Amino acid sequence: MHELSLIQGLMNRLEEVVKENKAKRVKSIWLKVGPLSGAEPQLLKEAFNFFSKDGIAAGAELHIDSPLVTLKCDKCGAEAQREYFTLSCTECGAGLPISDGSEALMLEQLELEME
Amino acid sequence: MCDTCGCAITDDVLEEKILTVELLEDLMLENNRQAESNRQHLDKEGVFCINLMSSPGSGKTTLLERTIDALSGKVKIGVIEGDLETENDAQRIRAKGAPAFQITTGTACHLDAKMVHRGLHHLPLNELDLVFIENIGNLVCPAAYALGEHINVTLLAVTEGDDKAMKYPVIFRAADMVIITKTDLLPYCDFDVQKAEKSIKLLNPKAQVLMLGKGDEKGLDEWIDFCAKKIVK
Ligand SMILES: Nc1nc2c(ncn2[C@@H]2O[C@H](COP(=O)(O)OP(=O)(O)OP(=O)(O)O)[C@@H](O)[C@H]2O)c(=O)[nH]1
Ligand SMILES: [Mg+2]
Ligand SMILES: [Zn+2]
Repeated sequence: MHELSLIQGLMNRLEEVVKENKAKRVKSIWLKVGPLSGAEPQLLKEAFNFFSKDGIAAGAELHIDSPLVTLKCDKCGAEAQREYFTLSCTECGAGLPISDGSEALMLEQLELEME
Repeated sequence: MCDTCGCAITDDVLEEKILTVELLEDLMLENNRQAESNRQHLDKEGVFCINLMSSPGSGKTTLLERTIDALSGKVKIGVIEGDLETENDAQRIRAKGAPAFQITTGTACHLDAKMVHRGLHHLPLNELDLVFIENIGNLVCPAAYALGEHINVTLLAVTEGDDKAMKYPVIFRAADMVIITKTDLLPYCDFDVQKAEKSIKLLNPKAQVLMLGKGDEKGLDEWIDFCAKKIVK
């Protein structure tokens, strides 16, 4: 699973942002992880716990926003919000388009503790 | 004690200064930057690059061997091979007379743009027309990493089952072309080609679907024709 490499990449990025802002440490992190991003929120959290034992993000809080995907059926018009993406309409069985944001893998926001 | 309300919060907590930084950036930013630089490097040399992805054993190296044979004398091909261990696949490519660089990742389940960058520097790009990257056999992680390729091709062997696109949507969404391989084994498998094709199209309407099997010259011709059209030099 590549969640470990993703978090390693995140850690490098945190180092940069802390330095740029002359901050002391990272307090909170907000990620957005879509259902079709290829990454699992739970595995990301576990990887984060592993890599944040010490250093600038020690004790930081990781918030993961896994957006619900709104799917609208072209055929019958039924709308459904789903955490996990499915391929067909539960009402009529027609194929559903995949909505924007379902592939998101974003570092949205940080809270830094300053000197 | 706090001056304002007389509560028991100590001074250093009150003075803790917090800065909120909005980043709204892709978590793959670093990898994507390297991938873009790889692509520019390839473009400068006039080389077209195809990233092959599939589960272990779906026929990536076999496809490359057949491609090198079919285009020999016409198109110069180089290969970057990714595996956890061994030089086996690079040796199979070299035995066909094409330059190959083997990346062994140890435990990493995917290639990333940095590894491919290293590989590109080991290939004689100025002499090549087409570079293939054979990704690690894995239907999950490779899809998340841009490498600098111009197109992605995902292979699905009929022995894997016709429901694989539904089960691993991300990698089939990333594909510009899906090749259904080992079609010579269709008589021995309950693989519904139409069902597989339908689910691939549902996930990824722009993907071209091609069928290929052992001894299947028609499928191979289509593939070779597709590759030859990509040559920019
Ligand atoms: N019957 C049949 N066998 C095939 C076909 N293509 C590949 N094979 C066999 O499938 C096995 C695996 O093929 P490879 O080409 O090594 O597969 P790969 O995707 O490169 O495997 P990894 O690099 O280990 O992920 C070999 O024994 C091939 O001979 C095919 O079209 N038909
Ligand atoms: Mg191989
Ligand atoms: Zn419907």
